[in-house]
This record gives sequence, structure tokens and C-alpha cells, in this order.
Amino acid sequence: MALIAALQDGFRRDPLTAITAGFLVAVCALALIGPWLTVHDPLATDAADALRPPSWRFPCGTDQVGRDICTRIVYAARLDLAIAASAVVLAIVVGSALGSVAGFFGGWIDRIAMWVVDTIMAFPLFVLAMGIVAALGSSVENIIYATAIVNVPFYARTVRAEINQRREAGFVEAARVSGNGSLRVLAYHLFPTTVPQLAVQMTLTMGWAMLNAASLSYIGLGIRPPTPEWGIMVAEGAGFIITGEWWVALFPGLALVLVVLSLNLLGDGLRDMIDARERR
Amino acid sequence: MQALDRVSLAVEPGEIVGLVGESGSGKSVLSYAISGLLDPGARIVGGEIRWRGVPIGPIREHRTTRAAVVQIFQNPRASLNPIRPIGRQLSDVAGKDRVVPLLESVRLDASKARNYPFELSGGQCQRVGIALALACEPELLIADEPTTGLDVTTEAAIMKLIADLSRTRGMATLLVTHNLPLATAHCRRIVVMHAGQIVESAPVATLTGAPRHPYSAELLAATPQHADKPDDLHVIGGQLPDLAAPLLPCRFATRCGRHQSDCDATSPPLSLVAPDHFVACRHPLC
Amino acid sequence: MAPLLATILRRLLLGFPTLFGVVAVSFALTRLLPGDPAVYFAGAAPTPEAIADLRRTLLLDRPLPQQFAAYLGDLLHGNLGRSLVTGQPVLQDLSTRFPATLELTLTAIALALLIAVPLGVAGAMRKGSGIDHITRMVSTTALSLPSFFTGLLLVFVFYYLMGIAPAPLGRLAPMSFPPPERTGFMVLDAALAGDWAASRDAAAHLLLPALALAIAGVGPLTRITRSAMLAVLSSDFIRAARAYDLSRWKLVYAYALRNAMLPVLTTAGVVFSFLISANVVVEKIFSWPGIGSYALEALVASDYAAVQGFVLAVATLYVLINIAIDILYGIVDVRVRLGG
Repeated sequence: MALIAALQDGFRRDPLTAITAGFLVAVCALALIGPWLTVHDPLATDAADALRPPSWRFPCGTDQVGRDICTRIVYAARLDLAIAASAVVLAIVVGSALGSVAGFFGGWIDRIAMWVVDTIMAFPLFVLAMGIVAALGSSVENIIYATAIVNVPFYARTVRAEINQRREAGFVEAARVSGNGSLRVLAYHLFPTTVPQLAVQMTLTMGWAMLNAASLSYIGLGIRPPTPEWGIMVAEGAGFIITGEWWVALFPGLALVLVVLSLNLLGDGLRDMIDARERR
Repeated sequence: MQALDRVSLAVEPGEIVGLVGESGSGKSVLSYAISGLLDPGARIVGGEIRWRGVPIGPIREHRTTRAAVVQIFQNPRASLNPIRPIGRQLSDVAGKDRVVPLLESVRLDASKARNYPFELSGGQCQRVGIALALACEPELLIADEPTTGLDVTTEAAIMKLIADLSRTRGMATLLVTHNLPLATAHCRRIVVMHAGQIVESAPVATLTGAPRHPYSAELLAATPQHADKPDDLHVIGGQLPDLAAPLLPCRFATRCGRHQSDCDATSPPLSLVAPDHFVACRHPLC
Repeated sequence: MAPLLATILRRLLLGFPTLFGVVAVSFALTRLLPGDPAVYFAGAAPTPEAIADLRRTLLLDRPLPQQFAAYLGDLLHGNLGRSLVTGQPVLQDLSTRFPATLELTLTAIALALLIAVPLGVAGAMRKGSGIDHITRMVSTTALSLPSFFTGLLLVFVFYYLMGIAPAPLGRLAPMSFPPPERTGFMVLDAALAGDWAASRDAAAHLLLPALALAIAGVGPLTRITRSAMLAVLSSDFIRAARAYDLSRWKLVYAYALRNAMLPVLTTAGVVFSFLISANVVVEKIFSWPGIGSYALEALVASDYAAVQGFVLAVATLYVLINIAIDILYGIVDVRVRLGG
């Protein structure tokens, strides 16, 4: 509950962060219950209604086969958020494990772990994701794995640095002396201290993971039409930009940008909050 | 946070005045205020700084009247641009033609103009700092801990240089330092500061012989020259008060051996002991 | 010179394990394909004989270490396989198309710096003010924009709505003849050949895609400029320089910014590498004939040799660029160079 109090205090000082947090909660809520609120069927095609500009009936217009874009955006929110969240959670789990072990035990374990991390970071991230999805095939799971792998280095390094910093601290000694084995000390005593930094990293990489997944879908890897997903929707609408039907690509793109922007702002705000607390 | 409280200080052309106090006593803040080098958010809450009778502000870039005051700093190498040869730094301030004469006036070889700060010793960097200061043709030079961190021989050489320049150019100098013996050796008059307050101002002989403020006496007693053996080293009791916390009118009160209840009522009065000697104390030594 | 050479060698040696890791991962990617790799590399509708042939060539029936050794041998000979789409060796395809990508990326970095550095300086000089907040919003927004969206937006606004940009159909207007190739940079080549109209045309076609890429780089560059400037502005020598009444211009640019540029340039190197991969999307939108669109076409055509060749080439380039940045840092930072 100290966490809740800390968050409330932080939000009071920094209203912008509070607003972005609220926006994101709203987006998640929309993603969850949105499908029950929408009027149209995201997959229903109707040639007669193809490429209609925004109107009361279709607030975001329709695409080339007559599907309502607004509805598709809402349905896509689920998929995009789910992919990004899964990738990030996976990256956190693997990265933290790698980083904890490397930071705690040091020595050649550390060197090998860092070699793995450096190798992953040696690939331009998007290119690596491309290579992985190309090799393993084009599916939702593989997008998640590729995005996760590409994010592991950030978490591994963060956790390793935090653990390294605190390895010799008093409370660690105390825990060891009270009979806890090394792994217990690592898991129950040291690791929780890394959580604030992890939280900050998480919001920032969530945004990046969403961009990554959408970009992969844009170039044709990953999600296949007719499943609604923001990246694919922009790809489908790309051709219509030069003929003037801007809404097909713009609205899904805008949705993506707004969510990623909020995630980035939230991450910045959280980082400022945590820095301020540590200074105090 | 109010760093300085009711500070009053006057410097005449050609004299070297020492501003002495412990680290953290506010000496540097005062010196930056005079040079106008405080950060943009700084404000004078009360009183004023006057240059030849004209009031000036604590931020140099906002001053309407240009005050010919420059400063040299505690860490000479850190006060120079690390990626520029010193000759170019001098020409930035003084123009290409004056570089060699300036180097000569601080007794540096002209060939050093090509060197970068990291290639020079601490003493040489301080000479460069003095050259840069001289390039501005100052009427007042503020020397903020100019020799702290330099070895004794270099310290003597730098101080001699400053004294010579002060004499030949009629330049007023404010020597800001925590090193009382250094100040007594080179200054004509000494001002003692404690926790942002000026507690005493007197000619050197008077201050060393017959100080009036308890703090001045303690500072004198604490100098190593006063002790016969290391065990005799006197330590001033207590610590500087936290300036962010509520303060007593006399900020030395908590550490003073002569403290009485009426000291906490109002600020200690400024009493003039002699024409050039004043003390801010309710119960001065006699 | 000797210490410099030592630094270069040392840095190359340090980079070697990473390079090895990159090669190993690339090899793994070519063997991780679900099913029989030979089928993938044999192309569409291969005959059983062709597959068997390829299995022999790829040593698929030999143990993995031997395959890896053969793979390494191929790499050292510059053999990245053969593209199914073009029929040419992948390395040749990549080197033919690389100058287009390089021209685009270099222009993008230059544009990004042109936008980001003044913004970062302004934000640092007036920290906490309205301008600073605007700068931070701009950089955060730039970070949140995917390149494909930026590219499409630019095309929509400047080509469709305003009509001032040429159609996004490549490096030159359709039906025009490219100038004789000397540097590979079309704007330069046209100018060198005296064909100013073509040079202008190439520049016009270059502008929008470079801008789309540049926006992706503005985010991190603005931030690093701002934080580096803030660090320098609070340093002792800047306070000292104020005491000497240096002109504001000199103080900010010759003294403060020059000292802040080192971390900015290092970040620019990192951004450059990141842009090489962001190229993939931008090249597709603008039909730019670089290595990014090459990889994309290969992906769509299931041309695995080409895709893996691309991944390996770009990753190697990335590692080499990082090494070059480290070495350059050592040269530019005077203190390191002169051993101070």
C-alpha cells in the first residue's frame, strides 16, 4: 500500500503524468469492453459502403471493402496491447533472470550473459525482428517472441546494474547471515529493489514494442488480414493516401501514435517521480 | 534559502582585503554575487551591491553599468575550457596581440600558448586564470581560494604574483579563503565571515593581536601555527548551522562560549571599535 | 601515431566476440527454418533433384559444426548466397543498392542534427521554461512516431495536399535517365556531370524520405543535446568564462556547445545505425531502391538467402560503425588523443 500512496503523491505533483495514466487506463478499458460497445461488425464487408469519408454513421470512415474503421480500431486495440504486453512481460522475465544472475554472481557467468546481450544488441533491432520472424514463420506468437528477444537486453542491463550496485549492501549481508541461500537472497531480498527502475523501463519499452509489432505487421509479417491490427490497417490504407482517401491510414496510425505517446510520457513521468523520491 | 544575511563590506583601490571563514560560510556566494556570477535565479532580497557608488545586480549579464571586477577560482584547471589551447582562450578575451604580453606578465613562457589546460600544472593553470582576469583590465580582482590545492612553493609564487600585480596596477583585491595564516600574510585588512554573516572586520595587526569577536579568536586559536604540538590543535566546537532550518539572529550563538540569553532576542549590533574596525557581537571580547 | 594504432587494434579485438556472436546468430537463423532448409533456399516449385543438390551444397547432411565452418568459409570469401529473385550473388545485390540507402541515411542524420541540436540547446539554455517544455514534447512525440506513419503523413501533406513534393516513386522522376555513377549519391553525381536539373530533381526526391527518417532520429538527439548542454552549462569553466565577459555567441557555441558535442556525436552514430534498419519501411513507402526495399522484396518472395544476407550484412555494419565511433571518440577527445 506504500506503493499506492507513493503513486498518489507523485501524481499530485505532476498532473500531466496523472492525465496520461488516466488516458492509458481508459484505452485499456476500451480495449477490453469496446467490442461490446461498438455498433458495426469489424469484419463485415459491404462494397456499397467502400471508402466513405468520416460521417456520423462511420466516425472514422470506411475502408476499401466497406468495413467501419472506428470499430476495427477498437478491436485492434486488444490485439496490439496484448502483443506488446506479452512481449514486454516475456522480456522482463527472461531479462531479469539473466541480469540478476549476471549481476549477483559476476565472474564468467556475468561475462557470458553480457556476451549474449551484446550480441542481441549488435543487431539493429528491427532487422533482428525481421530475421526472426522470417526464419520462424509469420504468426502472432513469433512476433511476440521476436519483440521479446529484442527487448531482453534493456531489462538484463537494468537489473544487472541495480543488483550489482546493491550486492554488498548491509541488508544483503543480513539476509545471508540469517541462513538464506544465495538464490533466496537474490530472489526475495535483492530483486524487489529493482522494481521501480523496471517499472520505468517497462512503460518505455511497451511503447517501443507496440511500434515494433505494428511496423512488422506493416511490412507484412505477423498478423494477416482481415484481422484488425493498427499496423496492417495503416498498410492497407497506404495506397489510398495518394488518391485522397486519407482516413483509411490516418486514424489507425493516430491511434497507435497516441497510445505510444502516452506510454512514453508516462514512462518519463514515472522516471522523474522515482528520481525525485530517491533524491529525497 | 537565504545564504547571506546583512553583509556589509567595502574595498578600496589598491588594497588587498581578506575574506576569511570556514568552508560553507558563504564566502563563495558573496564573491559570486560581487562578480555577478550567480545562477540566473538568484536575487538580492535586501540591501545592495554598489560599484563606485552605483548599485549593481548579482547577475553579470543583467547589469546596466559594467563593473570592472573579475574572479579567479579555486580549481584552476577546471576553470579553463578543456578543449581549447590557452593561447586561443586568451585571444578570445583579449585579442591576438595581447596574448604574449599577458603571458609574460604572469611569468609564463610564451610557448605555452599552444598547450591545453590538461598539459599544464595547477600553478600554471592558475597563472593562465590570472592572465585571463588581467585581460579584462579589472579594478577589482576577487581571488576565491586561489591557492587551495597547490603546493606551498607554488602557493607562495602565486600570491607574490597577485601582490605584485595589485601594487603595480593599483588593483583592489579581495582574497577569499579559509586559510587565516595566508590572509594575515598578504592582506592589509581582514573580514571574518560565519554562516553567511560578517562578524568582524579589522586591520591585520589588530585582528591577530586583539580580536573582538569570539569566532575570530577561535579561528586564530585553531591555526596550526598556534599549537606547540599536534595534540594542542584547537578545534572550534559545534558545526556551521543548517541554513535551510530556522536560524537564531546570531548564527554563531550555538557554538559561542560567551552566549547569553539576550543574544537570541535580536541581531547582534554592529559596533565600531575603531575607524577601520567593527564587530557584530553583543558581548565581544575586550 | 602508435597509441592510436594500439587503440584501434584493441577496439577491433574487443569487438571480435560480438562479431562472432552476430555470425553465429545469422547462421542459426538460416538453420532454424521450420522444415527442410534446402526447400527454402531452392525457390518456388523446385525439383527433387534441385533440392538434393542444394542439400549437398549446404552440407545439410553433415554435422552442424561442419556446416558452421563451411558457412564461415563462405563468408570469408564474400559468399552470402544467391538471390532467387535477381539470380545474382546477394553480396553483389547489396553493394549495388547500398549507395542509395547510404545517401538517404546520411541526409537523414544531417537533417536530424539540424533540427535536434538547436532545439536541445534552446531547451538547455532556458531550462524549465515554455520553450523547454515544447522541446521535450517535440522529442517525445518524435520518439512515438513510427517511420511508416511519418512517411505516409509527409506524402499526404506535401504531395497530395500541397503538391510541392514529387510523387514517391524513387530517386528520380520516372522515365528520366540516371547520371553516370561516380559516388553513388545521385544528387552529387548529377552535379558532377553538370546536369543541374537532374541534381535538383534528385534532391527533391530525396527530401521527403530523408525527413521521414530524420524525424525518427530527432527524439534521442534532442534529448542528448539538451542533457549534455545542461551538464556543460553548470560546469566551472563556463562560470569562469562568464567572468571574462565573453560574447554570448562565443560562450554558447564555441565554449559550451563544442564541449557538449562529444556525447551528441556518439549518439548520432548510434542513431545512424538504428536508421539503417528504419530504412526498410521508409524505402518501401517511397520506392527507394536501397537495401531495405531489397530485403523487403526478398521477404515477400521467400528469398531466404537474400533476407539472411541482409540481416548479416546490416548487423556487421552496425558492429563496425560502433567500433568506428569508439575510435573516433578517442581521436576527437583531445585529452584521450594526447594521452592526458
